[in-house]
Amino acid sequence: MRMHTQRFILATAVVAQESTLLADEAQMESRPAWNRRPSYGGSAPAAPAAPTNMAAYNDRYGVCIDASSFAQLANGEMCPVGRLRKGDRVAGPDGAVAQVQCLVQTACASGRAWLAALPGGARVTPYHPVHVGDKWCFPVEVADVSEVPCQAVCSFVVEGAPAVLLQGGVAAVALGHGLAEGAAEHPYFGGAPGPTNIRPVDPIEFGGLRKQVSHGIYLSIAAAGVHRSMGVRTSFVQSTALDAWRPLHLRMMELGGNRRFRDFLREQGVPEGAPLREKYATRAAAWYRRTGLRAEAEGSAPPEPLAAGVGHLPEEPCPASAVLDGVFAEARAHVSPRGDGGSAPRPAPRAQSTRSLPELASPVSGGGGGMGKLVCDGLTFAVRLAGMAGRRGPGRAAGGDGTRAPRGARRCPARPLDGPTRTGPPAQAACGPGAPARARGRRPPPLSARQRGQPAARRSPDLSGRSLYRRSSHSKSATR
Amino acid sequence: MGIVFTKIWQRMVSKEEMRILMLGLDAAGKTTVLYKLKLGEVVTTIPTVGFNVESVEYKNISFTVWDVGGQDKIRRLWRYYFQGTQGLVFVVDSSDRDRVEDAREELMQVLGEDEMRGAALLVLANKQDLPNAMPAAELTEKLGLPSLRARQWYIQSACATSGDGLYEGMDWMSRVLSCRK
Repeated sequence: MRMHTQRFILATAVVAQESTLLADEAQMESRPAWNRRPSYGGSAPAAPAAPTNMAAYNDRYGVCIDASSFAQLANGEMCPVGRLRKGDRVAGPDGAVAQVQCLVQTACASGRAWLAALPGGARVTPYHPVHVGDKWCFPVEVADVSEVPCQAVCSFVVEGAPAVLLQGGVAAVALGHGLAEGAAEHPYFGGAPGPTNIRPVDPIEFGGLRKQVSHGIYLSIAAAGVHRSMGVRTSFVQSTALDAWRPLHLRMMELGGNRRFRDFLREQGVPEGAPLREKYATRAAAWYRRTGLRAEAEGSAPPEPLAAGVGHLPEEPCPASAVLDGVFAEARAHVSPRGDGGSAPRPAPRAQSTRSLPELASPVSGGGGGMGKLVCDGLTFAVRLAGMAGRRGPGRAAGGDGTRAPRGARRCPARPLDGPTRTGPPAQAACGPGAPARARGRRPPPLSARQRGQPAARRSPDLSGRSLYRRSSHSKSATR
Repeated sequence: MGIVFTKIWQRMVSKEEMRILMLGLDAAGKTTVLYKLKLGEVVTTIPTVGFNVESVEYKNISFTVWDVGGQDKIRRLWRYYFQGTQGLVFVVDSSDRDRVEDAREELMQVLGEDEMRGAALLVLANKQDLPNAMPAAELTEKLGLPSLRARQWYIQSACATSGDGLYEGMDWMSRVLSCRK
């Protein structure tokens, strides 16, 4: 399961590096289990855009310390690495004292990580340079690596020393340490001392994963699904990581922002709890995207303000959207306990219904409680420079029309994946009263029970061995 | 005589398998089309990063439909799915006038690949229900389909949420592919 995630990250990362996927996959097979993760660039063709040879990372997933390992403070006390805060004074090698400038904590979504147990008990990722004996080396060279429970891993930027003493007196390098000896040498992490090229990032930029350009707001990937259903005229969604950006769109993102749009809607009297599809069909939203924000980004004359008191009214109704309105209202109703009341309650909860979709229920997508997880992941992406979005399967139909056997057991929605690509619970599908107008006219014969029982995903053998990402909801369900 | 009957019988019971690749720009509706074909229902989707694959039975043909994410930077991964593809379904958002040129470029690039030489092309002019959607004739021009040489192609206006046009498109695809046998 974990492998699947890694493979996916590999695939997308390879795009970023303009490298070749297959070469990496071939390399992976010859590595030990804990390191079946690709390093960047080793066999990559020279890519003009790649500024750094990522081969030196060895393992871009971690140059980190287990958050529950202890670091020595300057006063001799021990403190879990995860509890260090900016300004804490910690002990460095050779009696130096360092001050913590910044702590980067990365949650391990699966609750496990491959870590090396150093002499003294501290646990670090296999390629976090440490000072053991009298030289800098990688933990993988001096300690055993195993997969252990781990909630989070940390790195930090310190001032005053290149490294920090962990429990047992082993020094582990900090980010931007400036050391150029042995394993510690590194073109990026070993840059000039101090946080030169490591800066705090706007967490929402990475956590949001998707930007919605029309209104200049950031979205989670689940909300992006709803937004895309509205059509590009209403809501044009681009990925922060996977799309090319036009200057105008970037400008709109700079000028816009979730808060600005939310405040605008509030001023116009659009109820915050309204379903997304209704909210973006209001005159206020239409004015904002077509006139307000766009004019500002283009630098044209400021538009006439919207007439007072009409902002909350729907724009010209689009009869074609009724089907999708129904689908999303249904999905919303049975994933959100708050429901918008627009659809009939479902008689019995299904297995999938217990998952919630916070992004769908939150007043303005991209904000609200659903962001906590994303922010953690966001830091991962920011620091690791991977910058890839999560992979999500489609929401699948969650149930039948009552006459068929419940299909949930066989057709699970694609599961969220382990690892930092996980972005949230899957989109739920809808069915029943509001759902699908059946395809008119010619339809294929209904699936037989036997067919329905078969795995939903079917793949040709020639590609399956090198799929970018393998999906088999059944096997995943079974392994959980 | 026996041979004739055998052939007819085989024709009736045997299932042909076809490998279909579904591509298009992001938010064109590929995943919605796939699950509308598979389940007959509209599902809520989220942006596909990676791919979805389903087998769809239609007219005695088992289509294995690969739906690959269409975002800009993952379009470069499309080529890993080309091998063995018999039919290409290119989904276009008919209401997205701004990016129809992008769609044309991507389509031409895919069709220029060696592995896609023999693939039949079905263009689904999706989202016909939206106001201001381009009709199929206009899209034909804008996508440069008339300039295609030595390629079987067909454009079908469609609306994935209602299902209109999907089976017409699959009809064409199944006809073309079974004629090749």
